[in-house]
Amino acid sequence: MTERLTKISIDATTGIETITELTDEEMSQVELDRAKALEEFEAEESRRSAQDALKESAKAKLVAGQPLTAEEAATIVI
Amino acid sequence: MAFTALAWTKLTSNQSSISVTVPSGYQDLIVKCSLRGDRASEDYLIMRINGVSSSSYNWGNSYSDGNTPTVSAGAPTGISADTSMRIGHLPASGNAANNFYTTRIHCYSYLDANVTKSFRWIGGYENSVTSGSVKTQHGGGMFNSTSNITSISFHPVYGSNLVTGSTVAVYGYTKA
Repeated sequence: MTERLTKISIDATTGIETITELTDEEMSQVELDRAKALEEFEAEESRRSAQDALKESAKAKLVAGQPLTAEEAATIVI
Repeated sequence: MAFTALAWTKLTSNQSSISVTVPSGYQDLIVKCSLRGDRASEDYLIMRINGVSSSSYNWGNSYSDGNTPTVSAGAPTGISADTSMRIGHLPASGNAANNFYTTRIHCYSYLDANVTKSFRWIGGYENSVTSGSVKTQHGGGMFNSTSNITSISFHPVYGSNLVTGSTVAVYGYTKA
C-alpha cells in the first residue's frame, strides 16, 4: 500500500477533532487486519465446504442403505 | 437513568478510522454509529478499545440478510481471541448514496476495574444492490482487560476509508 491514510480522533472532553496521517505501524496494522480477515474467510469457506460434502455423503449413504461414519451422522439434524 | 451526550462527529472527508477518547464519570457508554466504507463490495466494520490490536477480544454475531439467517463467530471453532471485534457490515460503495450501516453499541461498566469489558451491539443496513433486503446483525463481545476504557475506534477492514457523512455519537449512561 502506498497511499498514506489519515484518521480522525475526537476528544470527548474538549470536543477537539484532530486529523493525522497513520504511522508506519498503523499502516502495517491495516494490512494485518486485511490478511487476517481473508484468512478467517477462507478457513470458514473451507469448513463449510467440508461440512456440505459430509452432508451429501451422508444423504447418499442413507439412500443406499449403507452405514454412516460418526462425522456423517453428526451432520444430520432431527 | 440518564444519558449525557459526550461526543458527536460527522466526517467531512474520508478517514481510515474514527477514534473517540472518552471521559470518566459514567457507568456505561452508549455509542451510535452511521457508517459507510469505500470498498466496491460489502466490508466488515471492526471496533478496538484503547488502541489495543493484540489478541484481546472475543466476539460473536448472528445476522440475517432477509433471506438466510446465519451465525458467524470469530473462528471456525467458535468465538476466540481476536485482534478486534467485528461489529457489522458496511454497505458496498455501489449501494444507494444514503445507505449507511447504523448500529448502537452498549459498553458495560467501562470503568469497573473488577470486570473484563463487555459489549453488545445491534445494527443493520438496506442491502439494496445485491438482494433488495435489509441485512441486520446483532452480537456481543468482550475486551479481555480490566483496564478502564479510555478510547473506542472504528475501522473498515478491506476498504481504505470510512466515507464522508459517516457519523459517530457517544453518550454516557448513568443507571440510577
